[in-house]
Amino acid sequence: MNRRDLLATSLAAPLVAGVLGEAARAAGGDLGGREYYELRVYHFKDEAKLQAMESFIQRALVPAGKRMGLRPYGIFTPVQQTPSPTLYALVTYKSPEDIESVKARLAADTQFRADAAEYFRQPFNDPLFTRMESSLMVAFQGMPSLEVPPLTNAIKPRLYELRTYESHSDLAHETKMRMFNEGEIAIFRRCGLNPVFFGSTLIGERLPNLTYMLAFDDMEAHDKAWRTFGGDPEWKTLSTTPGYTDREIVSKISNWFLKPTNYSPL
Amino acid sequence: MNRRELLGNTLAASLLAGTALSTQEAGAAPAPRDYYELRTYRLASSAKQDRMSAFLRDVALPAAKRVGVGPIGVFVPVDETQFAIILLLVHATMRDALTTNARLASDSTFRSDGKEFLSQPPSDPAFIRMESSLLQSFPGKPKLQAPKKGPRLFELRTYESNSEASLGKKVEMFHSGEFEMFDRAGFAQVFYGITLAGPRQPNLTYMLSFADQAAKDKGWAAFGADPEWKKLSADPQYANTVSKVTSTVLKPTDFSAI
Repeated sequence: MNRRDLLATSLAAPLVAGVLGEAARAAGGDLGGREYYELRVYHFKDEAKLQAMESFIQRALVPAGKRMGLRPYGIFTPVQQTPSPTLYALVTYKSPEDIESVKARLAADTQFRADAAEYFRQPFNDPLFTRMESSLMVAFQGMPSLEVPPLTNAIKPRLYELRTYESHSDLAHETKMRMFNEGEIAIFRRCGLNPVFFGSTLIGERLPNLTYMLAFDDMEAHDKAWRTFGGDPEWKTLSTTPGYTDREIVSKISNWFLKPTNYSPL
Repeated sequence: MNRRELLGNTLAASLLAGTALSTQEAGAAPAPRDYYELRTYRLASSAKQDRMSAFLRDVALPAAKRVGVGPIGVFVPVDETQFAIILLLVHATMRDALTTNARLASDSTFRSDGKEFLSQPPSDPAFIRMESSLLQSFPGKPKLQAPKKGPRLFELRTYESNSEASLGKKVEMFHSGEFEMFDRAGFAQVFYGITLAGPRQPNLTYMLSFADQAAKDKGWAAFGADPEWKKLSADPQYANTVSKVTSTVLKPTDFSAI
């Protein structure tokens, strides 16, 4: 069976024995221990408001996260110029129940509520942030947990790349995820693209889409890794396999370069 | 601090955390609260709208029933220049809400019956984009209440607030008499939700229902003239709790569960 036939018959995949168990688990809402991610994007009127938010995060949220033993999270700002100051927050959860538990524990933390008192007194006509949008994702089977990148230079400002691939249909989205799971993630790793997480967006805007994050020492390392990837023979074969070409399964790619704040665990 | 104020403050703290907890009332176990997944599919034409409706009616909704997703309300805008389908999925738990697609995809009949619709090529996509939000019901209105079947319209309203604290106050205001005022105005109150994930936060979204446009206009006029509403809306503690209101009038498809 060639690749194309394999893809064409993938609709019948639940008939394959190994997948049957997986389908049965999925039917019960069990995705096999894959993590969940929340990505929040805050927009601010000016730099002063962004700084006020960062000071609130450091004063109230970071200590609360420590008390709760929060899993690795990241707080980032864009490297590129944006229409208004922006802050990205990525939070990792073990399961849907963990999302509820983490949030409930934070809301019930009296020290946090005391530390956040000023935040709750923002005057209505001078809000801290203009708008916030968020998405919820589930980790890919091929990378079920977030990985804190093993960077060679931990002191230098790290560089993160956040990428979103939109697909024109749910089926194309699933095919793109399968392509990552069955080969592309491994090629990424080999080429020094340092994957941090891969998420399939469950709730959010511009769906269906997937979002992933890569980590680099700097822009030079970024450019070098992508060049290596572009020249990788296995990638050349995979990306030109009928059924797996961007033209067929990816309708739009967006990417953002982010730098971690100095209090970000990631 | 009275119970309502406590509700507002606790909500603000929990909203910042991205959840919508309330203080539990002493003595009574609180009713489990619904989660809502609100999806908007933007479509290129009325033909695409018809095609997606048929897929939902014939393939997706029967499959959802088989795998225990839903109930699902299916609506289209009354404004016929807007091509869209709005789905309201009612879930019992966060896990249910976050595994909708995985559960549907596990149903082999869904995949085989839906093959033609699901396999549309990039040159002719079924829909332009989909946008979704995840909400949790208000503590005081924990369960969705579907109106009686028959001729009915729906109004989906989103209130954005400037901060979690303002949103907490607005939710508290709803719990301070607004539900009863809507009852008096003759509205059926379908659901109230606080947005936990999605665009344009902080916000709350709720849905009213009425027989027709005339009943809607009459209801809002009665609500506006309600002396209790005049009193509540003039209460300084609730001033400026809403920064933006968005309202969309929807009609149900004939196979909508809501």
